[in-house]
Amino acid sequence: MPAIDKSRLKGARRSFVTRRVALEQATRLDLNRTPVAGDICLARIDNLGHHSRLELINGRRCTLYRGDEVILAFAHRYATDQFESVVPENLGPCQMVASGGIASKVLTQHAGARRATQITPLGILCREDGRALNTSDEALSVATPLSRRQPELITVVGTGMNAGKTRAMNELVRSFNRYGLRTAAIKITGTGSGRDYWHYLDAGACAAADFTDAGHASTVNLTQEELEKILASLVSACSDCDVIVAEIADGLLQRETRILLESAMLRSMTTSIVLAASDPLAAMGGLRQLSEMRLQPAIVTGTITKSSLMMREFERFEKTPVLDTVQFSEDERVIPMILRPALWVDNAGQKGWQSHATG
Amino acid sequence: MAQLNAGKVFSFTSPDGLDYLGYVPRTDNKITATLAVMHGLNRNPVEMIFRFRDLADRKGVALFAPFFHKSRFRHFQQLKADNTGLCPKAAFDNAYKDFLSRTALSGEKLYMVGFSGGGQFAHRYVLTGGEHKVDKLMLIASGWYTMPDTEEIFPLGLKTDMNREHLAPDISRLQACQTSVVIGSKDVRRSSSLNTDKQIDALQGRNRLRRARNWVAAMQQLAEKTNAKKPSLVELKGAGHNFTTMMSKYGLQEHLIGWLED
Repeated sequence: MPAIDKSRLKGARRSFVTRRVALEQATRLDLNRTPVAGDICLARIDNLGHHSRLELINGRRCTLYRGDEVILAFAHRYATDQFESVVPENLGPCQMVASGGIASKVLTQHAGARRATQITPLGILCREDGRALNTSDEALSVATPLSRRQPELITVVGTGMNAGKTRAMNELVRSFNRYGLRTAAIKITGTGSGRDYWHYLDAGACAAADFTDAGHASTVNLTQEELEKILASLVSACSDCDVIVAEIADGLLQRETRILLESAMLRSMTTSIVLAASDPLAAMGGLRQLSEMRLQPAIVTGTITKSSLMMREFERFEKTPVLDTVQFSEDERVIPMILRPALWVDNAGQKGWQSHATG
Repeated sequence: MAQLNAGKVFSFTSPDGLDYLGYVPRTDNKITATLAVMHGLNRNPVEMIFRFRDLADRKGVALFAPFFHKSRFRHFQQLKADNTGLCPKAAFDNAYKDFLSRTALSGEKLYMVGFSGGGQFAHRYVLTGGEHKVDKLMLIASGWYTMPDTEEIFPLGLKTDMNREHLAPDISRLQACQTSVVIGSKDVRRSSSLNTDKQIDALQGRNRLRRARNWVAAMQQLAEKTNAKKPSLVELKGAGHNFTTMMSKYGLQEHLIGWLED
């Protein structure tokens, strides 16, 4: 395993998803290792494609050029409007599939996405003892016992990508802050990228954290136990806040989203649910999906609210309030509405509440 | 029977359309008391209920915080009805009933604490005989009070005109309720939220500190004559008119804990 020059690492563009990794420990470059999810690699940009910029650890998006050396993390990606990709089986040429710095092998892509940026991994960064640097190395742990009263958790889910979840998150942070509360924002699932993280902080979140802080470059194909550990560690990291607004990436049909929503841990922590929807039929479908999981969102919001007609179509059929995020700051009724409990419907169709009296 | 999501703040809307927030602590013991938390004119029951959660957990009391929206109950603190004629007192009663029904709590005891305009509502609720008996009352930084004065028209005094006959204020109701008045020693600013009516100034004083002292003095004097319970007055040293800092810096939380223990 050849040594790697520190100055070479210093000159490489270091991606956002690697921000917690102790890069100073990298002294070797493994040219033959089979990558696993989270492994940190030095790669070369071969051809620019869909992602022509890389988000750095400080949030700045730098322009990439052919031949640039970059520091990325291997991970799977599941993005209905971009790429489906997996951790490759070797260090041969592959792609950079997210601007946060994900190295992956594309399987399928959205017809509207440009071809992925082509890269060649030059090796996996390792310590002197041969252990690979991995995003899991410096993961947050669950510091606060979960039996203590947790902040109120508002879970934001969407009917799909680009349904308006992050916008809803930002406005929720601002609204709760306006009431004098300390509000944190977390992202439980997704693919490593700083975009949402920076948005949360810009919106005034007193703390922000995502799954990369919990040690994962992406959450695709994680087990229930791994997803719950992410949730627990992120909530624990924000335990001195009053409210945590939590985003679950992608849509309700996505595997990890469903695992989380059916998880007893998430359900016991969640105070209420906000559904971001792209259009009336998606919203109605979202309500049905949630109802099948015995959950009821307090409100519907998202890109459906870009059109008064769409909102009126939805309101003709459903009683769940649909609110534009602009109303979050203008209408004093919004926060009480948002604190409506996630109501469980039992098998007999009777509405009831889940008891969590013994934590 | 509905099972409760204990340990979580929740909100509902009563059949009258009054939003309220609630909180039931996680405990193995039976919860017999609810603390009604009344917001002020800044209408922030959200922060109040969040700041009271620790207290609720420690003392095993449920929290109930109605939200009198400005658009509907502009003068809730004076018990003025909304456009439909619904009195805030009745709106409170119905919302509290809804809360008890949903939470399946016994409602054995009701304590009430009001901040600023909420303190005004709270003591007038008791004076005018709300449906639910209030076992303990705390008025924090109220702007002004209904004086035990039968010559002044309600809400300034106990006399009613034909518009307010139905309220029928009775000082003995308030005297029967153990009342604590809390005020910041620096709550002397005549801010925009203070009612600076000349009559109030003349009868009660020009700022909240003076008004609290004068009201308590008047009520204590009356209690001596009638052998009734005397309200107490606590001045939090250094506190101004700010609920957040009163709780976090000036000892209001500790005082509330002691008050609940008494």
